[in-house]
Amino acid sequence: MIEDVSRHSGGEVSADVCILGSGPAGITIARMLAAQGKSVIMAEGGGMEFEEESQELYSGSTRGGDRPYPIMQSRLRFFGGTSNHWTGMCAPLMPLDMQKREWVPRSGWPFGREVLDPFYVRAHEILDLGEYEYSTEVVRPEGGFVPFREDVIESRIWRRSPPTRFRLKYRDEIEQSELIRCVTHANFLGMESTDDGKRVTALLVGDGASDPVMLRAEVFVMACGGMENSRLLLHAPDAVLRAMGPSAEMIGRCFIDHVWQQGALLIHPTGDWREKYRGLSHNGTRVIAGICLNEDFLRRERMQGISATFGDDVSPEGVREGTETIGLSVHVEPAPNPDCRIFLDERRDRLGLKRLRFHWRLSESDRETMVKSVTVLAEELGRMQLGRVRLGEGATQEVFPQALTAESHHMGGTRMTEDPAEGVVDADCRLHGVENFYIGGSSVYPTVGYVNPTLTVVAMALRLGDHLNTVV
Amino acid sequence: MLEPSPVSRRGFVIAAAGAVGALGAGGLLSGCGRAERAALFATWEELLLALLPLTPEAVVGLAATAAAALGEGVMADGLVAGLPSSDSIGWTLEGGVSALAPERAMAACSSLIAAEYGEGRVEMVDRWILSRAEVHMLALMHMERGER
Repeated sequence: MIEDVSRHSGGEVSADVCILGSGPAGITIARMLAAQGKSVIMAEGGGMEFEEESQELYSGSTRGGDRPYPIMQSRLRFFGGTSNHWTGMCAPLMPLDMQKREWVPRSGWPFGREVLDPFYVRAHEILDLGEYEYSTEVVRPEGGFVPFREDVIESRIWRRSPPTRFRLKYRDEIEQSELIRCVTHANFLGMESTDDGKRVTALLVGDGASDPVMLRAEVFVMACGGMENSRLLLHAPDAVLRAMGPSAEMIGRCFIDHVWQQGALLIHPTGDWREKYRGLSHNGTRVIAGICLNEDFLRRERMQGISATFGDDVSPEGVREGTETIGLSVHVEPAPNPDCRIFLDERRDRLGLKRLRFHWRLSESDRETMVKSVTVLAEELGRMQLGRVRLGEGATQEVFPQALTAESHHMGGTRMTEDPAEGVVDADCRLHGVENFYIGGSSVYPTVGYVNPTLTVVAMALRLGDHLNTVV
Repeated sequence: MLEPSPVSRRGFVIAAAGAVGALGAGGLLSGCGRAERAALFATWEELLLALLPLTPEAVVGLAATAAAALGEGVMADGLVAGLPSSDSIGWTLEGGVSALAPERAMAACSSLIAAEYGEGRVEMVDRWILSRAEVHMLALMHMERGER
């Protein structure tokens, strides 16, 4: 069922599990629990459609960071969350993305890619991606992709979701569910815990107009998005923060967004190879093709992850008329940086919570990865006599990182680590030191690779749903 | 600052067999061991315009940047000596010479440049990632134009 929080004004609602947030992670977890007969409260801060008043609660400050960040435009605060405006690009993380890389400080997930594989397969159905097939031996243009040196550059594909809007796909199912109670305009207002902070006993939610409502459950899941998870968790009571020990200091730290920049890529008049990377599909699913660097090459060169896609025609200055030119979009995996951080502003929103403050910081290693990867591509295109490459201005030392663009992939902030001093949640996505509070969504990623995050968000939500079904 | 150019603007013609004697007399001849050779282009600028899909103005600008990046004390003969060569393509201070017909010589020249890319011998000039040979040719072009 779906109902407004005002219906319970001043009262209490109970269920086996309480989930904050109704984006891809929240809805996926709720459906899994309901399928196993568990009762679920799903508290959504917004309504069923976009509302300015709700969206305004995302307002905050980015002053003090390396550059401004689009904290308002990059997320949506209503049923279905940011799936209401995502573009649908999907690919799994590569095994190396999840491994400990000694040249990337704080890298490494508590488990390997093989753990996520079965969940990726199931996530494909949810995101309407067709079969789980990313091999470029199977999905390829006629004649194959450009034969780059495979030990250096590999072609890579992304499958494209329609894109799935969770609001449209799952509204009826949730409306008719007897086990899922979706409460709209139920904004997080506070948290109640045992005296030692080791168990959360209730969440206080409300719309600011009617009286607050107490949500009680055995287990709680916060799945409010990559930025909001950190902000709301920073509002946890002192007892909970104490129970978290050193991990409380990590809340909001190591936030990561992919950055991209466009360099001009010149194609010689005879070059028609870019067509190999366009207009692909596989059994009815649209496919976007690009390139990435070979994993052994990344290890050897001690580089972070990168990918590149070929964009629209561009007209760079100084290029001779009649020369075919296209944009080269380079996407870099920034390294975890504790100073890239979400914390609380002194200003408060209309509900009395401190607003978000965000310092977006990038590292010199991020710039070096970008320059080195474009150089490697230039070497390969030059070797094959396919074109010349000019580095985008954004990657130059003089202007970095001012001219780079955020991709609005909100990751990190409540990162997953075995060591409580290095992260916020454990391998089960449970808060370090707290027995019954979990985090869903991309904020738990310790490192992020170069692929878009949503497929992994859903895979991780399925994994968390499986886990919760064993503990509730 | 670069040394003043010892390279003359004249002397670059698509030469007939035997012309290399005159071309080679002015200085270093790198590679291209055959007796009969033809000059590839009249100037370094012409060669670079054939190699790079850039406007003449852009190439002139890049040449100046390349020369500045190489710094003071760089001699033209040193740059020429460092250019990649083969049995079919060689270089004099005045430009490329080849044992091949001009249309085939250009393909051979492109192959030499491609090999530089393949071996990772690249440098960045004004954000263009170019083979080291191209960058050195740009510097030679700058000298050739008598610019500093």
